[in-house]
Parts: sequence; structure tokens; C-alpha cells
Amino acid sequence: MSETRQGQERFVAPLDETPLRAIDAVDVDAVPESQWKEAWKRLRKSPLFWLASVIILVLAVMVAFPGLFTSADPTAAKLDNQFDPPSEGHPFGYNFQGADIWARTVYGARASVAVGVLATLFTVLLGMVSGAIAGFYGGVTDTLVSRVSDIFFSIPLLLACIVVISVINNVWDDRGFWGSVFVVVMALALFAWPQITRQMRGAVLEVKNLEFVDAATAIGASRLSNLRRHIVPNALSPVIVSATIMLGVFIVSESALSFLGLGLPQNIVSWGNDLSDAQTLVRSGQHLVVMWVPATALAITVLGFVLLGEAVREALDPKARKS
Amino acid sequence: MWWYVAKRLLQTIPVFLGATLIIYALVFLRPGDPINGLIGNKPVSPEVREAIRDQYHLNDTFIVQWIYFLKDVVTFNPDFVGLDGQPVFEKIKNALPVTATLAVMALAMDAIIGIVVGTIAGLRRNGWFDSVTLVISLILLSIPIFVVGFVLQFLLGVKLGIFPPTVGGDWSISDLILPAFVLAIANIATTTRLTRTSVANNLSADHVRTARAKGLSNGLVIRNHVLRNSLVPVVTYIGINLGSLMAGAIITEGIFNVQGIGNLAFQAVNRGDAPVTVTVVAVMVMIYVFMSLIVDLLYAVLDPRIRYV
Amino acid sequence: MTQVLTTTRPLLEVKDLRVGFRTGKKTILTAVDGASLSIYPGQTIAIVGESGSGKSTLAHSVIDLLPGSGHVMGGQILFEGHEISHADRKAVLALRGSSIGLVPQDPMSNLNPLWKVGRQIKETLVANGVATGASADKRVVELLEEAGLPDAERRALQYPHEFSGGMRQRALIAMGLAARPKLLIADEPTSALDVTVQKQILDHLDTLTDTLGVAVMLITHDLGLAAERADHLVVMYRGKIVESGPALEILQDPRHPYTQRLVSKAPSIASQRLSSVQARAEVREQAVQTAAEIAEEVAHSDAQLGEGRNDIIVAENLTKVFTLRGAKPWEKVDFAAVDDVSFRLRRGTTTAIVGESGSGKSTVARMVLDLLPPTSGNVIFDGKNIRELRSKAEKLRLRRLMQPVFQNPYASLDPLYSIYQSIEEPLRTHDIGTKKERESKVRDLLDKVSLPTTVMSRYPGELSGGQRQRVAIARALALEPEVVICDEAVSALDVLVQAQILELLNDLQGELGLSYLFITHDLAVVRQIADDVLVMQNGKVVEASTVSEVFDNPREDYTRKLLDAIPGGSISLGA
Repeated sequence: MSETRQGQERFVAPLDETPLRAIDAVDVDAVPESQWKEAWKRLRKSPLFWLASVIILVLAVMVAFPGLFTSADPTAAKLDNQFDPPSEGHPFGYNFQGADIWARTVYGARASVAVGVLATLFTVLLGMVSGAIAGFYGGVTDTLVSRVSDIFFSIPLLLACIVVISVINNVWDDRGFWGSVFVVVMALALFAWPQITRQMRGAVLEVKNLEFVDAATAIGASRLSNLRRHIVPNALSPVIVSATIMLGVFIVSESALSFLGLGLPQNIVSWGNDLSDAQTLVRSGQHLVVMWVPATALAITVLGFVLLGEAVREALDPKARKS
Repeated sequence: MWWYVAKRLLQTIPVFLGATLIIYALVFLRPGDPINGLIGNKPVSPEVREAIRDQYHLNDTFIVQWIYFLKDVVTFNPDFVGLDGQPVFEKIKNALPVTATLAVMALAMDAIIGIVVGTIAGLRRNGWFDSVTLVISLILLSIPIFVVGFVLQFLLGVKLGIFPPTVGGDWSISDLILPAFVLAIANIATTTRLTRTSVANNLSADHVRTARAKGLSNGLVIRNHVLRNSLVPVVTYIGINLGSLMAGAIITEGIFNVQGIGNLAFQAVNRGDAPVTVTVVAVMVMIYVFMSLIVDLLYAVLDPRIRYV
Repeated sequence: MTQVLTTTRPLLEVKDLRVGFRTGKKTILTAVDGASLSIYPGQTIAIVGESGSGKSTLAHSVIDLLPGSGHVMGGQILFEGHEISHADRKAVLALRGSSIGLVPQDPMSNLNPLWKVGRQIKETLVANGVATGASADKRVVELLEEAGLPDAERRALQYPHEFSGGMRQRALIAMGLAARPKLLIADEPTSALDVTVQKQILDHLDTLTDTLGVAVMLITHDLGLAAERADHLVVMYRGKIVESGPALEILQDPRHPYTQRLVSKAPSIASQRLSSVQARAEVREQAVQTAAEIAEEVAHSDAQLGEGRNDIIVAENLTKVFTLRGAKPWEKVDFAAVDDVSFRLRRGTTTAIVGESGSGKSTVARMVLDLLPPTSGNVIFDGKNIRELRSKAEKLRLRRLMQPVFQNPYASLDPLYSIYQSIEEPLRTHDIGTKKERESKVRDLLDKVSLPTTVMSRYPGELSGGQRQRVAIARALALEPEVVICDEAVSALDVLVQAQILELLNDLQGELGLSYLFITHDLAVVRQIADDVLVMQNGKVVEASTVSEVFDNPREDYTRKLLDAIPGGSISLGA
């Protein structure tokens, strides 16, 4: 005798309420979406991303066509104009040398952006290659790369750049705009790459043991083609996030170096130099506009890249990617 | 565990050698006769010049000079002088305490503010506090440290007179509060973000749900199962930063006129004083290396899963 | 005779419960839709369903532990007659632990890694006011002993990472029962464990809850296990309860089409044996015939491609020793993951390697695939020692003839490659055909694994686990291999999907004359697909024989233990 208690009687749901589906049916109407496309979709919904895009877009135009923003010449300095108040076409007035503050800020974007972009490019290139090699080949190669990167990582970035640039200043004096940018870029990249190396190495170590890499090997793909086709692309997202944020950090670093008198040479129009010039004025608390304008421009620029990095991080977050 | 410490200490040797070699080589490449700075404009006979060159081993090959340098550094040779004729370690001994105090104070501010604010933001993810914190920390990350430094120096130091605007040679801990805060700002922003993410991730961990199922109150769950677990990565980040804080002090020390290691390094670089420059870098590298060792050991204390191998 | 008893009040009553998750600003996903059930004091009921059926959501809503945006949208949850679905925080806290306990699913992630195990149990005692201080410490040891953990006093002072999976689950059971709840919710308590451990733990849990008179709500995907452990079954499908009633009655006479499907496909249920053995024999016969034809053709036409031997893979004394680092830098510990394993795979048949985690079965697969060099021993593929292949062309040829399908459907396809790219990759690597020919080949292959060609442009992230495994199979078949090595290829899948993939593999074998080396931990699956079987334990072969021999007449204790542990194996349906 089987006993049944109240609430536990045999129950069968009517089929029309609980229709059966084919086992593991494919949703034929779904739209194909690659991971990147999916990330882009999430990115598009992020207000941070749009704010960052606007900032970066304006910045890009400023770098490419500074003439659109000001008609004044940033290098024209007449002492007669020293600290003249704002006037038509000169929205923020003049600085200590009698140059137009706004014009200098507009034209200064070029140097900061050039340093930021190029330094990031070199750092990421160096870090990605070394990190991928270390993680993928392991063993002695890994030890070697890791130890060398430890050495460069152990020297504080700013201190190292000061030494490098002060040495080069003595060797290569008159190096023009691109020469000066090149020196700052190299100094930054030379001591910043280990950060990317570590990240890339970790990501490669994680990806290289996944089954799809074994599957590709079993197909007969060579190790190198595995690295190129499967491992590196899948290890990329953390590096992309870092690179975006790094761009902002490098722009700040350049201004810090200029502040110490070791960034771009004085004759180059840059935010760092303007800020450096402004420091004596700030101490006396007068003519603060000389500092505010380039400082705000710099901060907004860096904010643009930091925001972009933050938005990209969220868009690429594997936890947000429901599978 | 001692094997692990021994192994890590052994690993520091190549890092130390490599880092000093790189900086030494860079400074060595600098053209001009380094002793010009030492003797200034005084006319000097070739014999005296030669004697000084000998004293500084300047006639030896690069590698030999480097080895002499290493010997002096490793033995803390009190007669080891910079190109201005002043003993190097004497200078470092005078400059290190103020920078170390500055960095440790910055570290403490970073830890306290970053963890407290980050935890609150993480516990109320996507609430108003979280959003405000996000905006403030992103803005703080974007403003150059010297701009913040000048502004705070001007406002709090000059205008309101709450803090002394400059520190100078005779310093006390209270003088360093403002410089330490300025130094810590960027790190506070990062620590806050990191803590926030870590807390938020831990809140949805399986073992936290199990703790709730056991009947623990919300406060207990957070104290025992969310906070400590979240702090493990944060502590690592904070600890490893002592080195970079000391280097970052170059700028802060410049703004507030602190006679510390950063100032010392900056002047030495400008003077082309190889012995002082490289020694300062060596000290920084050692501090970094030891801090990372301590952080690793601390990590193992906080997380019993870590084995020393 | 069925007779309705009304004497006792149910401990837990769920009435027309609806639970939803907010997925957008206005969209709500209904995870549980109108579920009703009752549990009486001391009774064990089981909720059965596949992943996404809403069974865990239902359980979690009872103790108000729904994740994220989950919330009760309607209906009632009555515990001892009191409505608790909208109770305040304090009332819920009072229920948790002391009235309703939880044994969670994954023992690896459910203990806090930073606290000693004993302390985590003590917390439960203190929070529920059962004991404090030294008496609580004493109680913790008793509870751990009660949960079947030997050497409990020492174990209580250890950290979770020093425990094996089974031991952790015992600790979690001790924790769930610490405050002597009246109802224990066991959410797939053993699905992450090896079968033998699973059986031990469930047996122990049974005895314990019986002695203590605790009611159990067992959540499981395994119908056999459910029927064996519970007297009342609730079957869930897509958020709804489709059938419920006495366990045996449902197994013998499933009325809802979904339950019928489940009963007929569940690999663990005894009635499967006859039909599957018979079906298997047919498949094998056909496959051997096809394989022989292919081999014949190959041997005559082009000696380069193979010799058409009967034993397509012979493994001779395979051994793999890993060297692990010891506590001191100079100390090295040798660990034999695979120890002297030999077997042969006959053309057109399937050899299964069965073992629990750590038995070395996957290491064998990797060595056979030439992904890992053996420490000693040889793999002979169709008469050729694969380690002696020197030229690149020969190595590539071996790759063509032997293809893997791996376990984890989430990791076996490159997430950045479209399905088309994934399946085309082997063809491209071997420079087969023009772009157009490759495309039509990919279409053929998708057709073979019963996937519509519309999936070609999609990405792995958009497909289900079973669909991804189909893609993986299509990729493996692209090079027209003779041997496919399936490393736990179906173990991560839901029962019905698993059965479907096994059928597909069987069909393909008959059609293409494939030979399979099938690595699995699940003996029930072996019966459906394999001809010969190798039982491995701790790197060694314990027993090797034909499938029917092993099932009907196991010679070794370990094999018997494995067979006994198949959930539901003991149930006789009398049909």
C-alpha cells in the first residue's frame, strides 16, 4: 500500500500548459554576435564611454586643427601684454611672457597627446611581445624575461626617467619637437613595459592551457600559429584596458617631468611647460588663470582616457559576459 | 617558509645588480669630466686633477668602476663620497627619515581612506555613494599631483594657514600631513576602486551565501566573510606601493620643500653626481624588493592557501 | 491502494509560487511559474530537473537567498503554517540555520578559504544560540564525527584547502545540520564529487537525517539518484512543475511527455541495460563492417595512408611520471600519473577508459593524442609508433587520422572564432580544397551533427553546451579521421542532451566506421557507447574486459564499487 499525504497526490501538468520543446534546439533567428561586437554593444550603452568619446574626439580635433580653436599665435610673446586680462579672441588673457594663454593651451595638446600615444604604443608593443614569449615558452625563456622585467620594474618610473632624460639632455641638446617627444617616449617606455609584460604573461598562461588550444594542436597547427591565432587574441582584453589607462598616466608623467624641468624642452609649447612656468606665480597666489587653463585641459584629457579605460574594462568584463 | 625567504632573498641579488648597472651605465654615458663640478672654476694643476681622478677610480674601465661602487654601497663605506666631496651615506642618512615618514604616512592614509571608502562603495554597489566615489576617484586620478599640491598648498597652507606651506630642514610629523596627503591622492583613488570591486565580487561569492544560510546576521557575514576575503588583494596593492610612493616624493618634496631623498636624487641628477644618483636608486630598489617580499609573506599570512615554494 | 492521510500538517508548503529575475528595466524573466509542493516532517522529497528548470531557484526562495534581482512575485511559502515569503529580515534570520539548513552544491567554493573549518561550523552554533565557547568547540568535533569525518578533532583545526572534495562536503553537511534544523535543503550536494564518494556521502546523509528526523528537500538533475533517495518526486521543466508523486510510481508510469523522456533517456536507470546493449551491438556490427571496407580500400589504393590493421591503436606500457617540487628547493617528488597502461582499440569499435578524478585517464588520452610525451611506453597507430614519426608530413598525417573532442564545452572552442571558422580551421591548416569547397564541406559537417547551417556565422558564446559539443564533433570530423578520442565529451551536459550526443556519436560510428577512445567517469555512459572497457584507479589499470563482462561479472572490488555507486542502479522497475 502506498500512502499519499495531502498535497502530495499524483499530479501531472496538462501538456498545453507545459509544451515540450525539442531537446537542445537551436535558436535559428538569433543574430550572430562576436565577443568584440558584444563588447561594443555594451560599450555603446555606457555613459562613461560617450563622455570619454566626446572628450577624446574634441582633443583629436584640437591636435589636428588647432587653428579651429584659436587664431592667436602661441609663440608670439610681447612683454607689453604681460598678464593682460581676457579680450576679444583671447578668452583667458596673457601669461607672464605676454603670450596668449588659450592659444598655448590649444597648441600644447599636440605634445601631450603625442607623448601619451607613442609611449603607450611602444610600451604595449614591448610588453606584449615579451609577455607572450615568456608565458608561452615558459622554462628558461620565462625565467630570463621575468628576471629582466623585474629589474626594470624595480626602478621607480619617475626616477628612472629623470636619470635617462638628464643624461640625454647632455648628449643631444637641440633635438626639435619630434626628437624631444621621442626621448620622453623612450624613457617612459623603457621602464614601463614590465607592467604589460606581467599582465600579458599571466593572460597567456591562462589561455594556453584551455582546451581549444589543445584542439588546434591536435589538428596539426604549429605552436607559433597557435600563439598567433588563438592565444594572443584571447589574452588581449586586460592589455587593452591597461593601455587605455596607461595613456592617461603617461600624459600626466610627461607633465610631471616638465614640471621638474626634464620633460619637453622649454621652447616646445606643452601643457607641462606651461604648468611648470606657472608654479612661481601660484606660490604667490596671483594670476592663477595661468595655471588653471592648462591644468584643466590636462585633467580633462586624462579623465577622457581614464573614463574610456573604465568603460572598456566593464564592457570586457568576463563576469558581465553571460554565456 | 625559511626556504622561501632565502630563495626570495637570493632572487633580489640579480635585481639589485641589474638595476644599479643600468643606472650606473646611464650616468656613466654622460659626457664631460665629472670632476669639473667638484673643482668648480678653480685652476687646478694636472697632477692634482690626476690625483682626484685616481681617487674616484675614473681612470679604470667602466665595469671596474661599477665594482668599486658596489663595494662601497654594500659595505656602507663612510668614506664613499659624491662628486661634491660629501659622504654619500651621510646624506642619505639625513634625507631618508623624512621621506620614509612621508611615504609611510601616505601609505597609512591610502590604506585607511581607500579601504573604508571602497568598502562602503562596494557594499552599496551602484548606489549614490558608489557613483559619487567613482566620479571623485576618476577625477583625482586625472589631475597631476603637482597641480593638486599647489592648490592645496595655496588654499590650506597660505590662505587658511591650517598647515605650514613648506616643511624645510627641521620637520615634524604634523608638517608632513599635507604633503603626505598630496602624495597619497592618486593611490587613494586606485585603492578605493580596487577595494570596491573586490568587496562587490565577494558579496556574491558562494561561501557568503552559505554563511547567510547558516543564520548569520548581515553584519557578521560582512565582517567575517566579505571583508577579510576582499582585503587580500588590496593589501598586496597597498604594500607594493611604498616604493613608488618614495619615488613619487620627488615632486611632493619639490613643492613643499622637504629635504628628503627625492630632493637629494633630483639635485644629484642635475649635478651629474653619479655616486649619489646611483646610490639613491639602489636604496629605492632595495626598498621596493623588500616591500614585495614582505607583501608576499603577508599575503601568505592572510591567505592560508598560499604555500611557500 | 492509495489513501490520503490528513493527520499531520506539512512542514513546508509552497503554493502557486512565482519567482522572477529582473533582466532589464521592464523585462522580467520568470524562473519559477506556479509551483506547489508539500514536505512533511522527516520526509525526503526530490526536485528533479535539468539546468535552467528553476529547481535551485525554487529551493533558494524558501530561505530567501535568491541571487541578484530574484524576487518572489506571487504565491505563498508556508513553514509550519507561517507565511515566510514576505517575512521581515529578523524572522528570516531566525529561520535560517535553526529551522531550515542548507547543504550547497559545490564543496570547493562554499567554504570560506580563509577560516578554519571548525570555526565556520562553530559560527553556526553561536549564531543560532546552540552553544558558545568551549562547549561549542566540543560540539563542532561531535558534529564533524557525526558527518562521517574521521579524525575530527584535528580536522576541525584545518583549513578547507587541506580537505578533499568529499571531506568538504561532509563539513558542509555538518554545518547544515549543526543547529538541528527541521528541514534540510540539499542542492545537488554531490554532483561535483566522484561516484563512489557521492554514494558514501548520500548514504551517510540518509542515515543521519533518518535518525534525526530531518526532512530533506533534495535538488538534483539525476532522476535515478532522486528515485533512489526520495519517496516523493517533483519534476520541473522550464520553471513549471510538470509531474509529481510517489517516486516509484513516476518511474514506472511516467505520464507527462517530459518525464517520459527523462525516464527513457536517463543512463543510470536499470531498464536501459537491455535495450542499450542490443542497440550497441547493432551499431558496432555496422561500424566494424564500414571500417573494414574503408581499411580495405585504403590498403589497396594508397599505402601511404594506412595499413588497414585491425588494431588501430595499441598502447604499450604507457607511463607518465610528473616531477613535483618538494618543500625544500632541492627536493623533488616523482608522481606516476599513469603507470604501465596497455590496451588496444579495435577498428570500428569503442574502448572506454573509466576512472574517478586522479585516475590518470585523461593523461592517457593526451599521450595517445601526442599532446604529451610519455615517460616510457609506446603508442602504435595503425602499425606505426607515433614517437618514431620524424617527418613533418607523417606527423601531420597522424593528426589527420586522430582527432579529439574535449570535455569542457565552454573551453573547447575558441570564443573569438565563428562556428564556421572553427570547423574550417582544420581544413585550412591542412590546405584542403578551395575556399568554396571548404565552405560546402563545413555545411556537410554541420548537417552530419544535426545543426542548421544558420549557426555558421554565430559564435560559441551564443550556443548551448550541447550545441558546442556538436560543433566540436564536426570540427573533429572535418579531416575524416579514423579515430576520435572523446575526453569526458558528454559529462558536462544535461542528461537529455547527453543522451542525444551519445546517439549522435553512435550514428556517426556506424556511418563512418569510426573508432572511439572514450574517456569518462560515468559507467552508465559506458554501457551505452562502449565495447571494451578499461577501469583505471590511481594511474593503474584495475580491470580490462568487454563491457558486458564488466557489467555482468566484475572481477575486481573496485569495479564492483563503481557499479554499485551508479545512482538508481539498484532500482528495479519491474517492467
